[in-house]
Amino acid sequence: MEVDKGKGEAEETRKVAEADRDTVTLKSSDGKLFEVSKEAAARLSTVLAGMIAGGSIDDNGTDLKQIGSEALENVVDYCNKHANSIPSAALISSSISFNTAPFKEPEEWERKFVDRLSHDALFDLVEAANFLGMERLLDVTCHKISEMMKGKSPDQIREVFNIKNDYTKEELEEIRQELAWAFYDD
Amino acid sequence: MASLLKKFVDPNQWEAEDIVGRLGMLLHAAFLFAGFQPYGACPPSEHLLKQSDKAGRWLCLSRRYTAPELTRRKRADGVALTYVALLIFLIANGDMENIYNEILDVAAISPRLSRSFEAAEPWGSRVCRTLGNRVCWGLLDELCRKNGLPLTSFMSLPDDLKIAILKRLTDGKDLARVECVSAQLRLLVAERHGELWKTLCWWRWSHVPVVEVRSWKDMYMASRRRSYVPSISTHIRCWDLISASRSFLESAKDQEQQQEHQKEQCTVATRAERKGSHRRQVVARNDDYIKRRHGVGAIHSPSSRYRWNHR
Repeated sequence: MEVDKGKGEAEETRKVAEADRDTVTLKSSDGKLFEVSKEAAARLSTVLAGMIAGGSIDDNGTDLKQIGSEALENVVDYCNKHANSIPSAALISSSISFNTAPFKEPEEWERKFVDRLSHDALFDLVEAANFLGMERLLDVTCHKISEMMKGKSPDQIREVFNIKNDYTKEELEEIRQELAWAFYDD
Repeated sequence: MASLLKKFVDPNQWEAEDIVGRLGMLLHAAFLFAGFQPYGACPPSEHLLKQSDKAGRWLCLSRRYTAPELTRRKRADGVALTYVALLIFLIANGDMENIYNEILDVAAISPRLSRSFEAAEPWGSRVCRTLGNRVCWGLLDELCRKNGLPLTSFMSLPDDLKIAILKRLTDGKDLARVECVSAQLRLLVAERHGELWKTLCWWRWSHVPVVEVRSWKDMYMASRRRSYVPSISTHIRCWDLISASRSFLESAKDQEQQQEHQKEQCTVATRAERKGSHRRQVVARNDDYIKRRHGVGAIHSPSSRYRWNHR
């Protein structure tokens, strides 16, 4: 669904965009162009909504220097898929207070969307979602990463996320004693 | 989900290869999936280079990979290299603790590798994803770190994002285990301790009491203890609600009082039964806890505020 255009095609895109401004062209840090529906971009990303409203969208491709092409491809893919899916009732209700769930559960297609990503792509996507102010995508990606931690031992978490153990043996022993309750099953 | 292998492997080539060649394809796909890029000589198969020793007893698959960011560097000098021989032992049985603990059981994988591309697909993608996200990603992270390249990983995310992720942990045990992972993470959890434990309270009760609470961790831990000591669990729940959620009590006042009365009676009975048993100490300790909380509402002295923290 995502459009990854070469230079010649970019020319064409501009003409189309000029004639029919339903889409926004985004440019990744490595210069690749992607096209996304204006409506979806404005609805899903507060940053892009601000840019569209403020008229700072460049028809030749709005520069997003912080985002690599792979992550931007996923962002655009997500926007397109989101536009095609019917939001459930849970998504329509808006504000989050402390007596509703702090986070909304990802939908089935969103789960599948993040499940197919590699670690590298997933972390890049979290950063991109954060940069673009895409609350929903941030929810989905953070949820996925937290799933990767649940029920795992500290060693397993270190392995999955490649985190260095910077504790000394004594420190670790002390902490394990303090948090002993976390290592037993109820 | 299942299209991962298709992305990197040509079905015709798969059909043309033997089992070892197919294993090479899987590994190649795993490296590409993790974010590596092939480097140096390209073997004729475009996957892994196959070499056997003179006697033909050993078969070696090899290929060089690098991080894409490294190839974009103008000057190639000063590049730190990670030489890793990823030894894949195909084991027949038993278990062993490898350096990189990926064990492929020959009995399990060879029948699957012998299948046609279509039939091997869902399994192949799964293996590829697992290898890619574990061994291969770990190696990529190490390579990038040695070269000072920015590879996004959990630890490189901004603190706010890390917290956003940790807030999705629904069990306090998971958060505590994260604290054990590294000192840096423990510090982060300690700094943002209030919001993290408050969210955990939400996950536990599906709402957060509207009252002012000094330490959400204390509150969470108190609720955990309830499930630890079944004999007095109902008793504590009453008091916990009184101290924590007055609004809840007001709404169901009459009913609650009635229940409270019943529960108290029940508790007394169980305590009497348990007299002299090894659980007695636990009961006494919890009683002590109840007394302190009873009628106080907020805990004023700092020592009692951190009471459960330092256990």
